[in-house]
Amino acid sequence: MSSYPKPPRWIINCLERFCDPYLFEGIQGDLLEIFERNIDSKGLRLAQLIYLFQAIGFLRIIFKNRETENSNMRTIWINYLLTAYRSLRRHKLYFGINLVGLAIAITCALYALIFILDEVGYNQHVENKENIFRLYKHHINIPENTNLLTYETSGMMGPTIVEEYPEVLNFTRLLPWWDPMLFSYGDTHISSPEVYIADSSFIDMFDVNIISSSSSEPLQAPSSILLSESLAQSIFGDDDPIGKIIIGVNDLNFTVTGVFAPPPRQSSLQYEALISWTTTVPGTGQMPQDWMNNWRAQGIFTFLELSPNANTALLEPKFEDMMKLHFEERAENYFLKLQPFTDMYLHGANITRNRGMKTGSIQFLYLLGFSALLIFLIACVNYINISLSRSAQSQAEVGVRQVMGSTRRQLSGRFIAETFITTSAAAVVSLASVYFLIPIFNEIIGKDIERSTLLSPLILMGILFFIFGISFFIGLYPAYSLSGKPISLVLKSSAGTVKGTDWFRRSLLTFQYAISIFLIICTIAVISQTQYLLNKPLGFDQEQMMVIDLNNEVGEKAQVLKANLLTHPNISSVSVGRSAIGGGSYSTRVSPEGHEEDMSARIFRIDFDFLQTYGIQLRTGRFFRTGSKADSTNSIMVNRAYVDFVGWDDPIGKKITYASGYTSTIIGVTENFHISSLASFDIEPMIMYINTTPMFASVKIASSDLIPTIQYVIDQYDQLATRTPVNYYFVDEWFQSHYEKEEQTLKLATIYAIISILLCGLGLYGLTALILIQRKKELSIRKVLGASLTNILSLLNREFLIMIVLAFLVAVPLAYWLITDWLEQFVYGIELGLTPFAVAGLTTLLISLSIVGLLTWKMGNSNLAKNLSVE
Amino acid sequence: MKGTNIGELEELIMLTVALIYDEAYGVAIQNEIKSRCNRSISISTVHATLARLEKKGLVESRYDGATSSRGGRRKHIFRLTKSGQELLLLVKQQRDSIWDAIPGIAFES
Repeated sequence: MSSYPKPPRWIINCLERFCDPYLFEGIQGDLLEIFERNIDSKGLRLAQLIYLFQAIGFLRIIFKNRETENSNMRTIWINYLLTAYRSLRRHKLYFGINLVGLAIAITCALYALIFILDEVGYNQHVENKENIFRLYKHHINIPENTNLLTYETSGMMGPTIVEEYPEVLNFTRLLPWWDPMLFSYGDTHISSPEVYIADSSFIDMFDVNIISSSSSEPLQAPSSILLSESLAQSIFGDDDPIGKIIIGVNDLNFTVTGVFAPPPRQSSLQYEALISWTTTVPGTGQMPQDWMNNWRAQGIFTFLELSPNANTALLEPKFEDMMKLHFEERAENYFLKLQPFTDMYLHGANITRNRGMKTGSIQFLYLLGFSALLIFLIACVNYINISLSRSAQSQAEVGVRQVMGSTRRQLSGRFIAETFITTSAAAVVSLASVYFLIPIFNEIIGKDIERSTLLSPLILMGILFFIFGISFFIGLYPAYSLSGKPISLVLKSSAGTVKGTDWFRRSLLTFQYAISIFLIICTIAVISQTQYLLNKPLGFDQEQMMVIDLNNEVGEKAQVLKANLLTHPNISSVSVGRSAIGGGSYSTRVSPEGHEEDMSARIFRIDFDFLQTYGIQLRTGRFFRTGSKADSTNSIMVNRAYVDFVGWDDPIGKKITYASGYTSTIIGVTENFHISSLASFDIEPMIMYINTTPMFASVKIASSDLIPTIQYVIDQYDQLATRTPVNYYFVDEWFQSHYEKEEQTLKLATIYAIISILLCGLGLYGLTALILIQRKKELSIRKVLGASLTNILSLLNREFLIMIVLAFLVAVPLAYWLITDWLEQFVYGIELGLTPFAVAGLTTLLISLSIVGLLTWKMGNSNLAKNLSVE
Repeated sequence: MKGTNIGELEELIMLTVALIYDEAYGVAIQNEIKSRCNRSISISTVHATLARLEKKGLVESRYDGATSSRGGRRKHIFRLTKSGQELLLLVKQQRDSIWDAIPGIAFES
């Protein structure tokens, strides 16, 4: 019955290739019959599985039937596989060490491969992706020492560029809304964190998959909104959402004009709702936002669609002319650039102000790939080392085969076969472990890779490549060196040493140590830097500081909320104002006394209680006086950085003039405090003045009794709110959230350093054990003649000590160079002291010495008579 | 004489082939043995044994007309050959003669 689902095809193809054609039809028919029966009784999956196993069962018929008609070469090869298999079974310890080592290495590599493939696959879903570019600026201001790249553009840039340059076909502007937007329909209130305000061209440019819409241009008319399928479902249930009116931001009415399928996971643009840009155009929309539609304000994102033959290198310089023509005052500061849309996910890390977009980091990918490679090399070195050391054990076999007429190539084949078996087993183990560990990996690295990606053809090809590549790569040298000795030497029973390959083995081990030491140094440096960022004093008390969003209906009753909150004994102070740590500040240009030119400053608008609530220290002058009329109109405070920036000796009483011509007087200077991530921002010169417009409430909780107090705050809020759910964050968590990338790096580095140490230890263990076996007699004789255990230990350890010192000398400069480079990107970076190097060196030393020591001690205490009697 | 001795599984399968005369193909044989002897034999074992028996000349096979089930594949149907039949009879006679000779007392303890 053709309607039945098909069983896996490849296994039957495989069977068909080898099977007697006469038997094949009957076999296949029987398999299908059982399969069809099982689908009904056991379900598709199980049926497929049974089919697979049964088909595999048939493979043995093939081998049986073939054996008699084999050519000589095939027999030899089967014999090689068989001897290799037996040899592996006999030496279980070494097989185990090799298997574990290779399996870990392949697991790391496989995971790195999956991760990298997943990241590279971002933003590939847009059909016209080659021609879409994102506009960004190089912002240069020499007097103010500003030199940065930013995605922030102004609303007039896009339209003007399309108008003036024929090679630019279209533009779309984008403003990701800052905080979750609340939508109300009847009694349903749903808030969505991913709302974009966008031009109608957004739909075509980014292939938004419209499921249903009221017109062909659903994002054109003012106050239009498009919802994702799931958002529409949760607001309207099963009703048709098209044409319905919902209440959105600022209590305005929006008409639902369309429903779209959510953007794919691998997209930088993540949106649940799209609001038409025309809504914000003054004179057209009900939510006029002049700043989104003029030249001056920089705060929106612009995407451009270029014609296929446009040249970005030629286009970028032309933008300077446009700036001179339309926005002269910034033509010397803003240089417009184009970034390919497909680069935006991985290559945007050095461009700031990328709000509301999903991003990755190419740096992290390099790090991941590089670390996986290092681990991989360690495992390969382990393998080669152990194989070489074991060569003595297979010499008899090699000799006999040579006598029987094996060529050198055939003999190499014998050893590569052994490697092949080990590698295949390791690949299977790691495939299974990656499959089961993917959820844990996702948790650690913060990713959402699905298990099914593991079975993609590319990954499977990769695994095959691993198996064959490694077998060949790491099997070749041992095979070559083992098979290359003259027969006469090989067959002599005394030939038990491996002197010829000693230097090679030692340099491999040194190399391995170097990698380990390098990784440990890096890990310690990353740990210290992350700890430094997390623990550096911020200039205020960040503990238990709760910030509530009041940019909504509750804002009108902010003073009631404040009074109610202060009645609670655990709440020591509340500040309500336009700014809080974590939001509400902006940058502008003011003219300080004694300076002709405008200088930029960050403006922080606070209430009388702000500085005390946050515990910010006063440096000179005084705080704002509560209720003082003068203080709330024309007094300001500045931070210490501002005084240094302007260069005043005595700042108190100095005047500042705003662009509007308004003048204020400085009454006090605070110590510096951080308002943004220490990783990327230094303390900016800051001006504070009184503005109690309620945007945020900062609540200081003074007791350890946190949970009930939070609940109290939420209850008080809910009493005043009719439809807006509470939206709050804690200042310390807000700071931590900026160090996600550093923590990701930290986790990765730690894991890889631990794995590398383990692998090194494993390899060392195997190698030492072998050396001890080979030198058993020598050491036993030494002992009989009176050498102490300490003598023997120092004899063996001397060799390893030299290697570790050499490795250390190689690893230190490399690590120093890499870490210094990495630390450069931080505004606040640590001083790289001696500690990481010392700790790395000592750890490696300690681990190696204890492994060697333990094994030697074990041998030293064994029965010497027995050791010596073995012939 | 080599070739006259057959294994227990081979004998069982040959008997089943005779039992479901002219309908004996892999799955049918497997099912029959399952229901009569409550013994699970994997399908590949059945096929392997049949192939071995055919090589020894104890069974012969042909393909039956195609059906709509089994993905359109024909059934590979087995029958005993003359020598197969003779061998089974021989085995039975040998066993019977031994059975007859067993003294009754041997089964009483």
